[in-house]
Amino acid sequence: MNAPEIPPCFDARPLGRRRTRHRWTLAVLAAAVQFSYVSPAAAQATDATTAVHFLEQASFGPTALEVATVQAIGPPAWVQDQLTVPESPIPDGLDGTAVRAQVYLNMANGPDQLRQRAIFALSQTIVISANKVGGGPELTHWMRLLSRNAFGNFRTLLQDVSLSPTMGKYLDNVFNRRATSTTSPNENYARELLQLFSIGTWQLNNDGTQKVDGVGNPIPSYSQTTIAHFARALTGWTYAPLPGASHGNSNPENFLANLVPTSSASRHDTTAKTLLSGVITPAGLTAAGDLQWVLDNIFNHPNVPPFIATRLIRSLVTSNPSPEYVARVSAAFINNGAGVRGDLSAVFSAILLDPEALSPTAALHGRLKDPVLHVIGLGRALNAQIGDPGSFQNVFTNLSQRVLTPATVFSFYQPTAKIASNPSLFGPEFQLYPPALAVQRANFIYGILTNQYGSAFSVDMTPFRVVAGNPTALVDKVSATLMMGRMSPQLRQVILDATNAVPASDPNQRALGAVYLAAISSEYSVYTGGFTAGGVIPTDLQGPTGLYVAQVVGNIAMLRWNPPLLGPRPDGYILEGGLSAGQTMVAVPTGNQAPFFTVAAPNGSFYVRMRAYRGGAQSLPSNEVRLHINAALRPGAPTNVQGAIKGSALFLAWRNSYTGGTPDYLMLDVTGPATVSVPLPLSESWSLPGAPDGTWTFRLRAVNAAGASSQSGSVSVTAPSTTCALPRVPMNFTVNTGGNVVSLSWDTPSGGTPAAYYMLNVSGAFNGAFPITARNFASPAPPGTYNFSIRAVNACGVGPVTAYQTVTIP
Amino acid sequence: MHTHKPARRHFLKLSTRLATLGLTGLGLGPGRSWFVADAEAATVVSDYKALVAVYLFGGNDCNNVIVPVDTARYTKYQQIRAGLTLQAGNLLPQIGDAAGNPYALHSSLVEVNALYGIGKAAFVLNTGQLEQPLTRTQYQSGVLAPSNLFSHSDQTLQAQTATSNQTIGGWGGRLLDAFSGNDTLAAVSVSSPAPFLQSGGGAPNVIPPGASLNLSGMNISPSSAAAARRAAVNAMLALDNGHPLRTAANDAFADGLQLADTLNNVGTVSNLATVFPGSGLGTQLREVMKLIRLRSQLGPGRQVFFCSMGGFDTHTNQVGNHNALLTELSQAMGAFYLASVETGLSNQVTTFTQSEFGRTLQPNGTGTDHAWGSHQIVVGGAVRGGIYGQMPDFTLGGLDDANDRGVWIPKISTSQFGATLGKWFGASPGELAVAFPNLGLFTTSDVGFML
Repeated sequence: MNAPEIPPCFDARPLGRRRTRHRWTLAVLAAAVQFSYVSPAAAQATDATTAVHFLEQASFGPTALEVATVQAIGPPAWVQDQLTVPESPIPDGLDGTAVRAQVYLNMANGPDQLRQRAIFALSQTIVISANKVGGGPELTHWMRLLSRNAFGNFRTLLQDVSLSPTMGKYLDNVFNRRATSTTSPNENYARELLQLFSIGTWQLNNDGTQKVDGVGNPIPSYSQTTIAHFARALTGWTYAPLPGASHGNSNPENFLANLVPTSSASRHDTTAKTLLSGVITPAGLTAAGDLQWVLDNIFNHPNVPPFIATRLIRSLVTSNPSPEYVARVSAAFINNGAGVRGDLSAVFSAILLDPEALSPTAALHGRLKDPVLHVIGLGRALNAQIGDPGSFQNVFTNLSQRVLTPATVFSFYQPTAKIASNPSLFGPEFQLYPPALAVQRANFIYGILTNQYGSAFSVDMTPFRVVAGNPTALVDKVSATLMMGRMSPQLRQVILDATNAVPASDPNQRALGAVYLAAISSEYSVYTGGFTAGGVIPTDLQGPTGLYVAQVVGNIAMLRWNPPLLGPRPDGYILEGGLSAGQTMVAVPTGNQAPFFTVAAPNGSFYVRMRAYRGGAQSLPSNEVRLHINAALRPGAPTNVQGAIKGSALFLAWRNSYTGGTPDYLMLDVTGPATVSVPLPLSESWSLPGAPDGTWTFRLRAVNAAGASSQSGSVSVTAPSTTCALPRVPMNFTVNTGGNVVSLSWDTPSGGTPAAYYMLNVSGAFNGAFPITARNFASPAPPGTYNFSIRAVNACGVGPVTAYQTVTIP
Repeated sequence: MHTHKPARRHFLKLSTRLATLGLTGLGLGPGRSWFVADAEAATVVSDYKALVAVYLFGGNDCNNVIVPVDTARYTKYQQIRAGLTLQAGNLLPQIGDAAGNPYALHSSLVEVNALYGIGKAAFVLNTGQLEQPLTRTQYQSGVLAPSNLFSHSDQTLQAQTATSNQTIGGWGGRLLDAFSGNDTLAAVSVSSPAPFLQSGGGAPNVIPPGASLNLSGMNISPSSAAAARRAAVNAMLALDNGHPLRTAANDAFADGLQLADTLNNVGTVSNLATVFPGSGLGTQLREVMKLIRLRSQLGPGRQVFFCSMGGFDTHTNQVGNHNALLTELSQAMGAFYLASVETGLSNQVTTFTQSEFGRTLQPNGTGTDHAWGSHQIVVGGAVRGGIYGQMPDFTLGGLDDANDRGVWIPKISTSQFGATLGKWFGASPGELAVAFPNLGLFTTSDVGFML
């Protein structure tokens, strides 16, 4: 590669226009990049501390080369670049052990470090385990699925997961059938799809905090009845028939193709089901049709953005993200900037490029490294040769984290776990760091540094040994290698003392001791962003934030806010209010720690704010908001209007606003084929079972005695929905024979939704149906008469069948 | 900070009491004089006892653990269980409860059956998570039920904490709070880290069976260099730059080092004649027996252990899988009891099963789905052998069914089950009320299965 191959600058071109052939110039010529061009990113050179911390979050650990790259081009360009790095492959034909080894090697050595880190995070959110699906084909299918979708759309990921034969086997949906006289549908996949993979058990705000009902209790996301209905909607699937085999209801295992509907449609429960958000599926849908309803219903649930954002932030950046950080990542999930919901590349970018990730200021920012991150990160920093892990995988088993082999569908640890010794903080990874395992992890690292694992993990200690005659130089070398020169003076002194106690005649032991102590220190095992916490953790009471009026009914108002993230926990809060900004006419203690308060207020318009109190101390006030009680003010317009067509049913949802007078009712303004205004009660959703055809635009106004608000933003939908349409019939289906060879060919359907694959049906001397992605097929056939037909299939289901073509082989 | 450090544990206990009085929300934290007085009030024990939890991850299908075999009930069982029915060949010979009702155990439970025969095993029927006593009518009308029923993670947490309040730790850890003198071996998991063992004192210990707990790289020469390296480790564990996550990581490491020191100081134990099965649970229980012997020879004290088996989430292919699981369970519990007899500790050690829920009586095909109340097994020399509680009425949609698939509403709460063990353990009624915050809502705190 010559210098002119280096792009002249790194710009913000859209992904599709980036030329991937420049990709590896970055990794190989990182140093040259620093000198050979100046880009806007390079102009704001990233300091080493930020680069190291960024790479701890975005990769399996910084290396000298990657640090130099990030310093040169900056984190945004690095992320953009990584989004297009080709996936590290999982080769064909590996057995289960070899797949797990390959996954680990991709983590350690893959050039697609961000994708590998994303896969690791996703694999702990949407979980399978080699304990049940441990074969090569199972794991290969799964890892390719995660890798392919890591920067794709979450809706596609959910669909691929739901049709995955590996997941079908792991959570038992593969032969899930509708209720019989003695059995009910299998609820396993339905439950975990909702609880673990998408929305969780409690309704969430966009900032990840729990929604609460009128009396302050969290609100369940669904009930057991919901689970039963989802389980029914997910009936009627089986493995794809093996090539040449007939298609039935219980096909043998096949991990080379997605699940397919059973040959008998009656395995699927075709009755109507009530899904989330009150959505009811029409009766009579196929298994494939119902699946689309299920996935759309989940994907559009308001919990998905904060739920997934929180999981991924915890996995990559920090165990204790601020609600504001979660809200910013949720917003990227809801809209990637181009109006697309669920774009995971936007989500990962938002997570890693957020100020809270890049320049953390919170004293509790950071996370304990998982065993895999700790060990692989050490190897990358030491430029170790990391090879086939082979038998030393069992050490990871003892550390509770062998890749792709979690004990349960909850993965290696509960993502919501607090730290046992400090239950005010989240620290999920601490579940893998109880006392005995902390020592076991250190012992594993000692084994690595003493090269006990041969070619599986080979460390060259020479660079340390050659400077071991000078303890200061040795410790500087350790600091430069493991901590990019950021070792604290205190740790440095501790390691110096231990090094000085080893005779200079034993450079091996000096080098080993210095690296070992640094590698097992909490300065290395916990990444904290280089944030110097000493003296910065506030010891005085901090104020609440994010105050808003959640609801007003008559003279009763409900206020919500965020508790202070840092500092002492308040005993409670004080609501202050007055008639002008900053004025305090009344101060009402809430009496408890809940971050919401229902207050009866006289008629009028007030300025209110909250303070925290603890003992006799009070914090500074929160933001101030207006509270209008029965005020002769027009309401504020509803916000966040969203709409969707599902089949012929229309669904609208929005948020009411209390920034003005309290709304009494709403007016829905409809334009399109007809123009009409419909009064609605004060709610936050509306649906219409049969929406007339056409493109409709909806706006809302809130109304009270003082008048109507301005119109909300609009949402437009088109009925009938075109998002899920069956493919049309394949064209030009021809069957020819030559000797005993039957040749079939056909063309794509004319127009309509494209086919994902085709289903070839055979009857006569041979009976069967099997999927095929090509549009031609030739095979010798035994004598007999055969009838062939072909149907196109897509995510919505199976399209209409062609006319039969009959041939006879003499 | 050391595990089960009395100061932390008793601080927690007091906080819990204040919380039950509704006081913490008012900012009335515990004053120092209360704290000291409470620490002195902890029970000083004069004997040694251990509780051993065997947790069955996934939700054990209790309906096929013990089956009523009188004609009326077996017929109903058979009708609903369909293909999962245990036929005569899959059931052990009849046993009876105190009233003479006939039952039979799953044919894999050979060792447990033998222990029942000598009065050392008890079955506690239809026990599980409850906020308060609950009927079907009350449940369906929305009377307070445990949150997130049927969810593995939530019900696992609730089974281990006997409460929906995560912040007060597990009931094993809270029972230990009643006693003074707890050390680093007081709460040990030989499986995964368990909420069951947690309390205010910090993370309980996890000791993988057979693992070396000594820190590597500490034996170098000269001895002055070795001493300096160990001193460096200790010094490093005090460096946290004020960061709470680093503090927690250092605490875990420090506790691990102290655990190794403790184990090195308590000496060794001889080999037992009892042979433990080589299964996962057998290996865990062998480690537990070793730790019990090491600790009990030091004198009076209390230990709580956590072992586990996975794989009970039998949504498909239940028949073969459940056979294998119950075989492993029975063989390991049998060997553990024999070892306790061999060491003379059988009256001081009680082993019991727990699981997040039972499974639907009605199958889903070849398996079963998540349900609620379940039957548990208790084994030990201090167990009053028998069958306790009430077998649910096998009627889909009947009075014992939370919905319509045979999802049993528990009649004995996890709190009552735990308190029965806790009373034997030596906790006073007041201490039991702290360990099990909603115990007072149930009519009895002693189910009767302990002598």
